[in-house]
Amino acid sequence: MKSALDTTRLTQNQVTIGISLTVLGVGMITLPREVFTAAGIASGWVSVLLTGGLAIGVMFLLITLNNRYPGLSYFQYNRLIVGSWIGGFLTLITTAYYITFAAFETRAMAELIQMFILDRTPVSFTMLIFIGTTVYLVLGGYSAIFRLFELYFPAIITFTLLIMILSANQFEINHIRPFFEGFTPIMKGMSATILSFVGIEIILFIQAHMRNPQRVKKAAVYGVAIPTLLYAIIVIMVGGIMGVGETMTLVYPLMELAKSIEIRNFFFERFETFFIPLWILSIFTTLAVVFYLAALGIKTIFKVKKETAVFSIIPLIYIIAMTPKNINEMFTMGVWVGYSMIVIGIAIPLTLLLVSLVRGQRQ
Amino acid sequence: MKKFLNRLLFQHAQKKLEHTPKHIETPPLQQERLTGKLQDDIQTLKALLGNSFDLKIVKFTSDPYTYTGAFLFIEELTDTAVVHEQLRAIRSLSETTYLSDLTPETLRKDVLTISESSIVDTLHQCTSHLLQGNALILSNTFKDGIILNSRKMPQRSIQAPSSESVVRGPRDGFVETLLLNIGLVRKRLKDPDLQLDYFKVGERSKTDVVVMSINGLTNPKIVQEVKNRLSKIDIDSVQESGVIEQLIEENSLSPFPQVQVTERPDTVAGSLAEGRVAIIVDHTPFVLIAPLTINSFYQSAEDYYERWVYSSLIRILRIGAALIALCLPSIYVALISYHQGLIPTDLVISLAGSREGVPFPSIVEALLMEVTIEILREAGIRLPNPVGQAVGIVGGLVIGESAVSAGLVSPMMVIVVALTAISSFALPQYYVGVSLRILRFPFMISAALLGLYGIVIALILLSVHLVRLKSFGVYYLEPLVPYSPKGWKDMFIRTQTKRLKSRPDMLNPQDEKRMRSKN
Repeated sequence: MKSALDTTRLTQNQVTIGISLTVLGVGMITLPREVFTAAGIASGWVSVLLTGGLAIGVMFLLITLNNRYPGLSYFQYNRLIVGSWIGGFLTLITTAYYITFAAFETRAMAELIQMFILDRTPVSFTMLIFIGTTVYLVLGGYSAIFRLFELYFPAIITFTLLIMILSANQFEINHIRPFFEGFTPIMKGMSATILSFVGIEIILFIQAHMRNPQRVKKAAVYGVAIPTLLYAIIVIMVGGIMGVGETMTLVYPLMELAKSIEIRNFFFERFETFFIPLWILSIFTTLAVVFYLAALGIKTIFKVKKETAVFSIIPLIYIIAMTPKNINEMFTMGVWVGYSMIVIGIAIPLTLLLVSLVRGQRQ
Repeated sequence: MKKFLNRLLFQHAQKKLEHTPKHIETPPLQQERLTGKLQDDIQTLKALLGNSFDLKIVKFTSDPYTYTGAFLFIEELTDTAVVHEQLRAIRSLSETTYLSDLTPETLRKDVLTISESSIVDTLHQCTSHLLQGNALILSNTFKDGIILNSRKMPQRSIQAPSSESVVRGPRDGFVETLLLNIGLVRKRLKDPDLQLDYFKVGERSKTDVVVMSINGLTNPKIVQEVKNRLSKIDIDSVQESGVIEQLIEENSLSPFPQVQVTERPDTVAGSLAEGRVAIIVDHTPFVLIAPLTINSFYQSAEDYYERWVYSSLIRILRIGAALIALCLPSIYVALISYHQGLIPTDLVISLAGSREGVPFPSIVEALLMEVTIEILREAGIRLPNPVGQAVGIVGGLVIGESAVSAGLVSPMMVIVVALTAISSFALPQYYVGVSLRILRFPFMISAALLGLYGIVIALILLSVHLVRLKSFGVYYLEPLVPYSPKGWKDMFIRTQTKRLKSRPDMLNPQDEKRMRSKN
């Protein structure tokens, strides 16, 4: 019987949804442009599926690393593997990465708001309000974050699929043909889609909090499969409706897709503004996790209280988020966040796994 | 300078001493025993009760000798018929036995006809029993006193609950008498496992509080939590269950109640059978049920009596009403001041026409009308019924109509405000409507500041708050999150009664099955 008074540990559903919603962030709105720009062909969705498969593979390796130190999170066991100095350094750069990631998400949201809803409100104001909201959630701890994800998940998925269904009448199969044009473009497309899978490495931190850690593999597979399928559908639909050439020129292709929906004789004429709340939610979910992990890093390094850690990173996030001068610099920042994820979230943990295997260490 | 500082510090210390709250203890006199000397004991008790005029002393002599005794009781709390009956019993003694031959025990057992009596020996016990309405027999032939249970329970007749009326369902509601209220619940659950735990709350009021749960069904952790919190209450007087509610809830800053309040015995019995805990407080018809989860916002006892399709549709309707009550004015404000482009062209033209000549921005207009309607509502509650209706008509029709024709507000705003007010009444529980009414104002303000983005942020903050909120260890949003598909059968829709085989598992009942058979 699960206890009524201790339900903070995560269920399998919560881990699945947690991974999905962390992955589904800004990437969801910009992915089609990035894929088509990189691949240059219509079969970009194949790249998405392949990257998803790759991500599941990486997940399994990360889980193998976790399983060697059950009950501990990455910040706790990295010093066991490589000693407290290098371990501390790894924690520090991971924290820095998460702070930058949080700043990017905040800025991206603010740009979206400025472009579509509030064109005269200063970006800094929308950002501060958004950060404040996140702080309120993060202070509730990981358990509150993942419970909130469960609440938002059905809404985000349903609304995204709703856009696809409502715009299905404009779909033209010819836009996404041919399905296969050789491996090189598909590989190129994969390099662009990797950036949309930023966030899978949170498994390094949340597995330790699971109620039944033996179910982690199932949770991880579903957690990556959901965003992969959703991405593939989005790429197919955007490609099929807008066409490859046009998509490359759009800043927020999914938003343009929503704009193209028109239902006559309905109460609201323009639908896209009603989908913006949805994307605010999906960015908020990513930001919350990333913010939490950044605070966790600060807490581990400086051994301070939770509140101190959370409040101390607010100015850092704000300053970094204000650094990009325009939307292009912001997207460049996003690309760099993606590359650092490959190093910090994948390469370093895998190296640690190797070291751990070589040293024959196990807890 | 140093002297001055010293004096300051000294004064401070002295003040601190003066301000240390003195713990109220029983005065030493009260701990003393009865002496057995009739006149002395009566005098002491009288003094202890502040020489009140309503302490009645009826003396009697039963022996040919001078052995006498007295009945002591507080007139208005005691059923005098009981006292007179016992007095008669003692007086009839003289024909057979002498009072001097009897010990308190034999007197109690053989002479008195009352079924419930006990023996006390300290002054403290005497006064506390007297204040509860029990009568005390003292005599100079024995040292101890005898307590007769002669409490008079003034009670209102059972009436239909005024705050939760139903179309279908029992018509009886709780009254102000604790025992009668317990009886109303017991009649509905003739279960030997029904457990009653008695508490006394309030240093001075000594209010009776009873915690009801079902042994072997209710999660013992929840029961224990309720008991712990009740026993930690430190207050001088409790006049209503609302005071207790506020002292035992988790988060007193939250706009949401964390304990359910009901006037309906069938709701209490149903909740007990679900695995919740009921707290009945003497002198109030409002019974508390804990833990409260978000479901109680839109569910009513009636849902289980009506057929399932109807109940489910009504629930969805109520959720819609709750959303309207919460968001409609803020959405209106956001659309009018920021996102005119979202409104269909024809509508926007007529809206613009109706707003022509209105001198205020839409947020001022909205706040003006919302505050007016809150005032009307408050005035309507306080006034006697016929006058209240008149105020409603004057307020609703006259103010609304004339505000529009005077050009103060637009007709659309009147529609929005009226719809909002009606929606907040559509919820089965009054106090839920109150939470939504409170939240409506921050929503409107954030919509005025940031438009649709403001509403989304307000909704996110609200959901974060709800996710963090707990009621007696149970998450407020259960069974919605964390996912518990079993609980979803009885959430937004209520499935067929025969499908509701198990109790809500968020409460972790010890006995999960509601229906025993397999199919």
